Amino acid sequence: MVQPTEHRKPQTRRWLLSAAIAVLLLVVAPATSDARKPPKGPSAAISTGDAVPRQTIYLPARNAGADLVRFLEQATWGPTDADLAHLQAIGIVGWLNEQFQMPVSSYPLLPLQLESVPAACGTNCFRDNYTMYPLQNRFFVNAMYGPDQLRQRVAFALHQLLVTSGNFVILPSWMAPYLQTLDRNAFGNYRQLLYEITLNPAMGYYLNMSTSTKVSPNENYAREIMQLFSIGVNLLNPDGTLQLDAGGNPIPTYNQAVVTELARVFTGWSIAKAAPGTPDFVNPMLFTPADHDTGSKTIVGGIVIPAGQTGDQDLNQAIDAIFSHPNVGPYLATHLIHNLVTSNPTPAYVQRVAAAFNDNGVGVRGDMKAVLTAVLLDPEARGDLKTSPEYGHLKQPVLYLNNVLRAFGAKSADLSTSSDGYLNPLTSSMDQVVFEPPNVFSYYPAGFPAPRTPLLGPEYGILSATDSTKRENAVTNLVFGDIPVGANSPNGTALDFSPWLALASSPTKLVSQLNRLMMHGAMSASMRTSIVDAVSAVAGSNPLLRVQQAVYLVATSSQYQVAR
Amino acid sequence: MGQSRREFLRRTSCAALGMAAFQAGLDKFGLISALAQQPGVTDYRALVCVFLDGGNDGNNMIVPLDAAGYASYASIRGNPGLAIPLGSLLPITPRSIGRPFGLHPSLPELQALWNQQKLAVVANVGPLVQPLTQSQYRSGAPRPSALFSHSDQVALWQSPRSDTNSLYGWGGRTGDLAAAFNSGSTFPIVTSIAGQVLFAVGQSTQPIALTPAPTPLNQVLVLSGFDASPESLARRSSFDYLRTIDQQLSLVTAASGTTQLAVDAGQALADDPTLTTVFPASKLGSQLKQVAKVIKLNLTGTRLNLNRQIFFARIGGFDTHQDQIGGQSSLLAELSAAMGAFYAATVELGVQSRVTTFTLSEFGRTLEPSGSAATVGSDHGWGNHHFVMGGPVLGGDFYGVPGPNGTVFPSLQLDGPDDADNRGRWIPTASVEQYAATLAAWLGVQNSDLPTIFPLISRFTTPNLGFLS
Repeated sequence: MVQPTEHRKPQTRRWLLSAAIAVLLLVVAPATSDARKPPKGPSAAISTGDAVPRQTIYLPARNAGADLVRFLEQATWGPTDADLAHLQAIGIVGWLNEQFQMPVSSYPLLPLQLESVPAACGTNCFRDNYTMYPLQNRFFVNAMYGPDQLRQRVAFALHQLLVTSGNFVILPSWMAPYLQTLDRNAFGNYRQLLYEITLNPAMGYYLNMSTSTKVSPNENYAREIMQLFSIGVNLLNPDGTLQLDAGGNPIPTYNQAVVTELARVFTGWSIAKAAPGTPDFVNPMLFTPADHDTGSKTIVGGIVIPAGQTGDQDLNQAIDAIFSHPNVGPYLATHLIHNLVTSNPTPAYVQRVAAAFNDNGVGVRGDMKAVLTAVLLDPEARGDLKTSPEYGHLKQPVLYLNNVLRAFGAKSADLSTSSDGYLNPLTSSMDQVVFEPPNVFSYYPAGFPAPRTPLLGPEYGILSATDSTKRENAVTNLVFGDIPVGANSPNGTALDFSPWLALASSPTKLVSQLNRLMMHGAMSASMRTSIVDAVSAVAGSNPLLRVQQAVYLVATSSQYQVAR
Repeated sequence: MGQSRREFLRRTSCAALGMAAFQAGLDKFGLISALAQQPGVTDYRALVCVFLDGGNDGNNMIVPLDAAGYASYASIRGNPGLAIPLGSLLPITPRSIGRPFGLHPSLPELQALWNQQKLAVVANVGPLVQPLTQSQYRSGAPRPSALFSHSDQVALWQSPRSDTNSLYGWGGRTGDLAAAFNSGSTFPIVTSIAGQVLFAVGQSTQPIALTPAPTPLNQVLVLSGFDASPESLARRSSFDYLRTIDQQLSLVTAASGTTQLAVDAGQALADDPTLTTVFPASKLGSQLKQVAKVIKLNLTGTRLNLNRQIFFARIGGFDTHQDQIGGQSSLLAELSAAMGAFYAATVELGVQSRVTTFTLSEFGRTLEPSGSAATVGSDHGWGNHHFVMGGPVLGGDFYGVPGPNGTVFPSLQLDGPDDADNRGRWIPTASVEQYAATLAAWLGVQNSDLPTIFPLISRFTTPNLGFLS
């Protein structure tokens, strides 16, 4: 539903700095007290007497519409008017607490299949049991319709950090438990997530821990759990910047000897059989004492794991050592900020989020609720207008597509029911095959630059000229056409423009409303004028084409593709 | 500007001789050298990078065949079953070493090119921040950060320096300087057939990325949904205008620049040339076929007007921690067949002496196997061997920097003189910068400009490993 009155004035609100605007200085409910109601009015930061002061955050007044739309851009798969109304009603803290407790949409377990494709398995059997098809469809259905939006965004961000790929783990019944692990722990403790993901069979299979034995230890998982999942390769300051030695060089977090030692820690785990020829990818990997290296190991931070322990004792000690490393906070903070908010945060922003990782306010390290709250309620994330030219991030294809689908209430091709979620072909064309990142460093390199700028822009790693054209053509496909009903798409998908047709008689109003919902009012005057002109070139007797004209232009613009 | 003497000559030549005869002339009668006296006319050179994603195991790609060398290899790799049988290796003898080596049995096309002196090997090359002996390494001398890590080493192999993270790739930086050869053309100097990649990004160079064959070249960058109706024209007009505004927003401008590039390049790629050379339908075959088509379009069309080009292709799957025997065999077979077809296509186009193809990969792999016999593989290493292919290559030899054993090829011993630790991770003797600078210099970068691209190059004995004429 379109709300015609919101945000008519040019936004010059600077709620944070202006004393004239009500600014609520709040204390976020720590994770250990989920049931606690968010504070209702202005209050000072509360000193708890802890050594570390409790986290303080700033909140805009509830009617700060533009910033609430932007909040939904950061915390969901895309703003809708219904979500905006609800957010306005309960406020950001209320919304976060609601999301933290929301049931998980997630991915249902699929029946485990034979590892080798049976001869009798035909086209549909293969598609449903030996490709990512069912999970990809479910991903888009969840994103379009699932109420647990924040969990989905965070779980996908975690998938981009703790990577396994359907290009190797090709059975959806093998990948689903991995995705469930991410969903289940998205608001939990990062230490628990590291532990569970280490014993997840899909991960064990993807990074070879499941065949690593004391005779032939495999270094792959040992390396990646440190490098990619937790601490990174160089020592970080608390604000995420590199620590440098006297010569100005980065200082390695660990060396090859540590990788070799840690590989010995992870020996002895393998994937059980659910039945002959059918590996068990649901239950955690199985420990075989005879395959475990029981010698002592010296791992990261110089921590010595004594000889003679069980596999699980070794594992827990190693996870503790990794999880306790001071790099984890700034490392994870940087990843989540990049994914949800901006590619070039200030070090101070990273430091504030890292501090929340280090201590959620009641002495707990690794509390994801505290971390996410810090990411999303930071002054650098909130506020109506972002003037820094460096601010924001390019929407990755799944975010871009979901933004469009949600803004215009995607339904089945005939608009009579729900979409089936068969949308992966569109993001695939933009170089993002859902759940099939090309390798362990995910869909795009974390260090990729935004072209011809001195800025980081990881998502530009999958924005080639071809990708750019494919983005525009995907929008053409959805705005002027649909994903038709077909063999792989029982319902098809189409955008529903019916709520927008009434606005078409006034191109100015139409564009103004698109500006509000799609760009949180950040559209420049020249952009608005250009689109209004293009809409006015369509006869008023064709309201649908007017809406299509306008939506195409906003959705294909770089201004929309970069979340700011 | 672009319709300069080059085009004039091309057209008059074509008119006089007919296109087929013109191409045959290029090939057989040395017409290129005759025309080469005209600056910018036929002075064409191209680099083609093939990136082997995951870390290709050079230890099984090139194996010593002399009795002692093979015995050392087989004793380490034979248990549990990672050694290639002696009899199946494809023999080659580098003239400067004089001892026989064997190529992996999946590389028959590359062996044939070696025998034609169109293929060379650069041995034990890898990221270094300075020349590094084993004792220096083991006593903590400066080395690249994050050795043995995929993402970091992918970046270092593609970057112009190994001492820090770079926002640019050495292909892109080479493109920045070599772009002077392309004055009058607006088409990007760097073309990736494998998506966006750090290698291709320069300070001023923004690469174009095209989808592989069989997508026709003239369909890779077509915007759908526009027609000649007034409504459509109005939409197109606004669409084109929107990417010219809001330029103060850096990230928006970065995205707009890519869209602009797509629109411009889409107009330039108006034809889809055909080739008689048959390419394998593999992933790499389809990429290199598209490269050959772009080269042909540039040589025969009027819209690209490039004297220098850099291409990037890649195949993945080389991270063979397990199941390496079968996995690497099929990947190397794909590599060999695709490179062989690509060389044949350059002969078809008469540019075999103007195109140099080379491989990169983030690291070699441990000589010591990992995993059990059923799943045997190898772990991440460091220095590695690479192929350079083409007419300009002084083929039939190994190049690099001699190490402790006096040759460019490392001693295959665990904890031996070339080993970083005790698993057979070779400390490179030649640096990526030296390898890259040799290629960049061939493309036309002046020696005096090499330090601009490769800031550390002066730390190494020579900026040119000498494998190109």
